[in-house]
Amino acid sequence: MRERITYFSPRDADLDPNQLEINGVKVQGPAVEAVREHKITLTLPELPSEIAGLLRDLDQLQLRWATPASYNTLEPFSSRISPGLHVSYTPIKEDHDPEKLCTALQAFGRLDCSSPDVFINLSNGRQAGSPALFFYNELEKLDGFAKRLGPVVCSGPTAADCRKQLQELKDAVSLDMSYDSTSEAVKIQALWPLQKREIAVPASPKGRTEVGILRIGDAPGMEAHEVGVSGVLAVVGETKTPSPTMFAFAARHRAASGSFTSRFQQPTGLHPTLQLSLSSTAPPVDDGAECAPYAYFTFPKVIFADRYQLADELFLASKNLAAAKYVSEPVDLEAPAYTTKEWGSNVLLELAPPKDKAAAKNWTVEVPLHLRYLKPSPTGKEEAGIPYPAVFWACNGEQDVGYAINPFDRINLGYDGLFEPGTTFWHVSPKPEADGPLINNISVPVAKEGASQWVGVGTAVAVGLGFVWVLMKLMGGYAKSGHGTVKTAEDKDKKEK
Amino acid sequence: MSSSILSSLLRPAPLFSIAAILRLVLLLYGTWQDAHSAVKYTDIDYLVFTDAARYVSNGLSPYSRETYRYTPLLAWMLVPTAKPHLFSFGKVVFALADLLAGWLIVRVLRKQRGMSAERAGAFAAIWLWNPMVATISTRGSSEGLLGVLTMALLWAVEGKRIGAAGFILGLSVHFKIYPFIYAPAIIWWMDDEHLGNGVSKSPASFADAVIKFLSPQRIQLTLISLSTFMGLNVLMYYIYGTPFLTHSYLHHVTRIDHRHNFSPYNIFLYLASADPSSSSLHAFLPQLLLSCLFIPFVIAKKDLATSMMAQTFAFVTFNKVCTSQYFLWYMIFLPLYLPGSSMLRVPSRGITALLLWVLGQAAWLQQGYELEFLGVSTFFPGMWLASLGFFLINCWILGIIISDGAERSIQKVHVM
Repeated sequence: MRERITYFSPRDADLDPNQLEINGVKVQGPAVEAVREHKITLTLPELPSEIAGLLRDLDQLQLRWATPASYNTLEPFSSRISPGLHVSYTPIKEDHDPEKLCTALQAFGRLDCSSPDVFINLSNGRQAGSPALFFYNELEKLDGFAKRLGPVVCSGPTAADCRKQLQELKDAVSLDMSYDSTSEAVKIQALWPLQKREIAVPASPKGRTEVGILRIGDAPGMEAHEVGVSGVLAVVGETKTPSPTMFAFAARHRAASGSFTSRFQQPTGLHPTLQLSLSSTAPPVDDGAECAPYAYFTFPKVIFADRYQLADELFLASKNLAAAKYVSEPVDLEAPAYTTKEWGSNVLLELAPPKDKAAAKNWTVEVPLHLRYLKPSPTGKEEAGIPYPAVFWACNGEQDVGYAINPFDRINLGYDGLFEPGTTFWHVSPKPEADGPLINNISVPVAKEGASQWVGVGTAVAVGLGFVWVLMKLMGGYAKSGHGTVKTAEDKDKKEK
Repeated sequence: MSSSILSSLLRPAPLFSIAAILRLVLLLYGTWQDAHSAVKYTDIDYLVFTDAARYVSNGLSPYSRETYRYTPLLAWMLVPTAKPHLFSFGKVVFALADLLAGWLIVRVLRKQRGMSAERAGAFAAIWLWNPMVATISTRGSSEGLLGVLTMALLWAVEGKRIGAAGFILGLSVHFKIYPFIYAPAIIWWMDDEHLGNGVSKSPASFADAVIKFLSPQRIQLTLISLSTFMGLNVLMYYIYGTPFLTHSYLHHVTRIDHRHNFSPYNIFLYLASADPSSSSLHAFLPQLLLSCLFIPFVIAKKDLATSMMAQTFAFVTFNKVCTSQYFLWYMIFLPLYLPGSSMLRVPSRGITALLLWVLGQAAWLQQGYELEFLGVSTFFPGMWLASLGFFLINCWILGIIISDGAERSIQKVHVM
């Protein structure tokens, strides 16, 4: 087991390495404005046997969670995904049953993932090496997860410390767990947001703990597109004095200026429009790279976008959209939510910024969506929460950028696989509506539960009445003229003669 | 003066020219609106057809297009639309089908009802100059094709073209299933009297009656229509396999019809669909009894056209799904039913029927608007009551059509 804890501060942070207290059991320092990242690398034998057994059936697995709370961060920790739990994996055998995986995922809370049909297939149109299957579930907090995980991973004399560390997950804004069969290693990365925090890293009882106390700064010989970092590194229990460091790397995920807000246009009806308001029209870089803004959506099954509706250029242009680059499959355009098996769908839209950049500082994009029917409820309404999308500018770059050198790199976020390998993602930070979560709530009209007793009887009575009425008219007609041809007076005369 | 101008407009040349110009104007307007506005004139279904046609022209299955639930014939017919500059080809076909249906109406009225050109033109104008009909076909909905098929069926049967009638019947059922309701009416109608075989003696025994009923013409019609229907199905199944069966036919059995529409069963079906234990197949019973059995039994021999109108009206009214495009299915028969009907003889009745039919829809549409656009849960009681109200209005209208049909004796022009 290896651990790496990084405190990452802004350029102007007040950070004096001499104030750090480093001894055999911990690294401690004064409070500083910083993002904190905790990375743990484990090998399969170090895991509980059930989990190791589960992972051996998989080629790769990624669990990603993002908080619905709004938070501040710093480059290079600027990548965003929609709030909630994102699970993607590739099984080794094609007929893999996700049941075991789903059982393990219940550690996060009640997730509906036991049927293979819940997962959607990602294989179309993505970079090689992208995971094959994907599932999303809303998940507001990690509290339950931290609690349930305690007994499984914390044991022995250090169990109390271990549980305390797990409790810290309550304040984390992002959690990634990934496994791949080539390295046979599990990497866990948790992120705490930018805020004033004390530096405190205890030694790990099980392995080596590396600590980095860094801030953004120019490194010698760094190129324009790189992120420069300076600070000190230490290994708890090994280093007496921190060793200064300074380096630069190309980052896949950058922070664009400005922010965006997402809201539903009122009234929502059954075909709601999601409005994205962006505060900046300018691409993040001006160095000739081709950049375009995108939004990547994670839609729970209650709502969906119609790929065919998003194919007409005039229609798209009228909504400030450029193109629907990707819509996951399958998306049934008619079925109610209660017969739809897939968890939902992903959509990547290219946005169309206003041409006249000086005139419009703010601009709004409209995303036409459709609601599925939901089961009746006692109130005639059902509330649904739609997570914010990830909004970013994607700028194309050279294929062989050494993004992997970045010690804080993050891949397989859902959208990155849909772009060329050298693409840089400039993330626009999400701003909630009125300090709420990064979730857009929508009220879905449904039938009132109490209606069923009336509807059953009433419909039967009305159909019965209508049927009997028509039948009576038919019998009246039959009584008058039988089922044959009507004999006119002339016909009758003929017959009588 | 004005009436003479009007009657001169009803002569064939101006009648069809105006109908054609109306469609041409709508077609050009639609093309303009599509090119300039984000709100499209073209029906969404037309995009489904043309996408499917594009798949077909690339040697793929039309069922590669989601929600394509039609016979591959339609996609084949629209293959030219795969070329961008021929996008409107299908709409032109649908509009021409409208005109052909109108021509058949005029023909049936003149040859088989002995009507004057102007009078036949006046009734045909109900279809030909109907803005609803013209709009539906120029927006690219294929329902107009059913109009020409059913009218051709009536024309063939009344003209005693048994082979043609069998072929058209088989083709129509392959196309849209519902025309199977006309089969019992046509078979029942095809007695010696209607076919001009001379009136024979009443059969002596039940066995005689059965033998007499199984006339060569009836057997011919049955065999031709069945082999056309099955032949097309086997061909399509051979080419496109199971997706053809699933999307063209099985879909209609398994669909759960939960989305709001005019059908009286609608809210009931939505509630039932949310409860997996329920089944709603019994909803077919009143619909099929009326449209396939009782109505043709009483009316078909008296007036085949009115029987077909009443059957279609019953089928649409009692159907588990009902949208306004379905109304076109019975509208095609109006020009044949209306002459001599009590709706015209007693104008107040006709006007009341029309007003109630429109008001019933308006009430439902108002509820639908609140649900669809404002998100108000109008399912119960508003929309439910509106759909039942519209249903009862339709039953009342159906009653009038049936009473008229039962008293009807159409003037026969053929000489016995």
